[in-house]
Amino acid sequence: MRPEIIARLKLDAIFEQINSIINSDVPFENAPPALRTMKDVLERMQERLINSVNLGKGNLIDSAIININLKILQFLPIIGFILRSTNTRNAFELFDPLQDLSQSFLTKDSRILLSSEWDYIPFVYPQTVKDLPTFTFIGLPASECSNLLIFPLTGHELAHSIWGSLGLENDFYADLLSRVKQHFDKNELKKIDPTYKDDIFASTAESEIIGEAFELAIAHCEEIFCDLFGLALFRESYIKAFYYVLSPGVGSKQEPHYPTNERRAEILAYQSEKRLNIRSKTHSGDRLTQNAPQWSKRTALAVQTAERALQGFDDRIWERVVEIVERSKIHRPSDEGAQAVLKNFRLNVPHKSPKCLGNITNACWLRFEETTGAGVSFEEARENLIRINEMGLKTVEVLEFHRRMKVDI
Amino acid sequence: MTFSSKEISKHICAGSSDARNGVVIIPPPDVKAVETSGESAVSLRLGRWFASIKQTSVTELDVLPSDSEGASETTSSKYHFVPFGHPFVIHPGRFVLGSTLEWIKLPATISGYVAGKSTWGRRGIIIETAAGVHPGFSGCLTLEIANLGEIPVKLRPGMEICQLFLHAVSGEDAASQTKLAGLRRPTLGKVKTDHILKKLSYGATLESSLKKGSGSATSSGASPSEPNTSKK
Repeated sequence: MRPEIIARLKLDAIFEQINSIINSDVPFENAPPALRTMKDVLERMQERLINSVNLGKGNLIDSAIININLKILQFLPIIGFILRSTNTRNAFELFDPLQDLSQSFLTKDSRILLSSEWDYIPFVYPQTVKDLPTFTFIGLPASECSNLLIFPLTGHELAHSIWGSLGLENDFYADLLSRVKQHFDKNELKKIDPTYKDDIFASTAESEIIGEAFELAIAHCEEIFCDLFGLALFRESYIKAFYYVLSPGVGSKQEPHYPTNERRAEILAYQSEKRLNIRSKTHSGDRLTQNAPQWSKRTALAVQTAERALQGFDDRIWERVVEIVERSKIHRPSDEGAQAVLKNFRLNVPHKSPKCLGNITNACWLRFEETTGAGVSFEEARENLIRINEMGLKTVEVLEFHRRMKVDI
Repeated sequence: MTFSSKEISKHICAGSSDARNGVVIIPPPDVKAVETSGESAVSLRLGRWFASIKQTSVTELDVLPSDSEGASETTSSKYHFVPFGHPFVIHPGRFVLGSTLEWIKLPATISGYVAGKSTWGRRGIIIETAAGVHPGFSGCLTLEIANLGEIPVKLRPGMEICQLFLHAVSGEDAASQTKLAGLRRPTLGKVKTDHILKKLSYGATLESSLKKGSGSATSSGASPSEPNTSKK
């Protein structure tokens, strides 16, 4: 069979899937435009393929088929993500306030796709798709996608979009490069590379490792930014959600592009105490232990250099987080706000005028902790969690209700 | 005695400052409008979650409770979420569970009952058949919605769908312990164990389970717990 026919059959199958999702009960408005955009892209590629076939140019046909295959590979996980976002296990009440929050930081046409993941890996880079530049993809673990206790982790994912959209890498570029250079130790390079000599080629070898370390430092900086952004949006509930998902450590290996979970926990604890006067009582970083990585000596040196360059840099990152959050004029969570919501939760009722998501998630955690102390059975804990989550999600819906009531029509 | 509009607004105001002793309705209604409405009820709105029976896989619902935990909810019904601004179309003869947008909490001294609004009743939409709301209830009310009319009707989340009448409870009562409280979505709930019904049905269920154990199928296609009336 001719390869262009196979390519068109593959496209046809995707179009059918897209149409099927669009025509199903899609519970929020952002999924269809994302699907239609992808369909448009693929239709244009199909048109190019047909034109190439009509021209009878073999090289053009081959190239069109390869591009179609690549695009299908890129779009399939996104279509799966959108399909999972329509499942009623999701708490759709969360969508509107999260979209509102994201538009405070990104553009007014930015759109959230909130979904659930079966292969959930916490704190991964969200997928950014060139063809869907205004969409932010936020996933939660499928089994707990409606659990408000872990919802604060979306702050981290949202922050990745903000990092990219505001070009924050540029803000830290010069400082980080200078710190990497300052913390690079030539003697360590000599130890791991026997061919290294102080000759005319030395500067090239040094530049290479400095470049590698700098790239890692930027990646670590982004992760720390995202954690601190989550902390600013959700206060202590971000830290509690962080431990809920990551603790105890399952022995995963540290990836070079990520700071260790222990280091991230240390930074969160330090900044939350210093800036927000929050003392993390119940958790300690040693429950997040990861296995020792098996990197090449060169990668290990680059990571070490990046980590040293970032020592003490979290103050600078926090300041940038605060600038961005203050400029957005969003309502920030507070102890008083959480206590007001908590007071209602104690009486088994949602709050009638919540100010922000952070106050709700903090109240959920506080209520969960005070009802689920030592001596509480699993069954009681489960009942408590369901009850608190239901009140919490209704309170989240009240946020949307009030937002809609402010609209002039 | 059923509360007047003024009494209702007084209790809602009380609930606004003291959730323990007043009537709590969240999101709160326009209390002034309730007070001046002259109606002895407060209107409630339709929420966004619906639940329907899985007609493609559920052969019947047995009123005799099943011993298997969680069987009723997850295996019998499926959820639908309808965003604000979108309709849920209910066709003639169809039945669906909805819920109120508002979370209600009644103090131990007040109970209520839910009734449909005549506007919708005249168009064939029947809202509530199990109408009692017990003292101490806290949660969104599950609404049993049926279309008895002749044409499909578009229901819209946020519409005023029903009305809650309130009255005082005389004497002291323990607050409601229903499992259906504290929820934001409509729920089928688990059928409560009825010991009298269980005893009355005992012979038939035993016979039925023995038959099941021996591998023979029920001729009527009924569930194993259903009394086999053809043998009587």
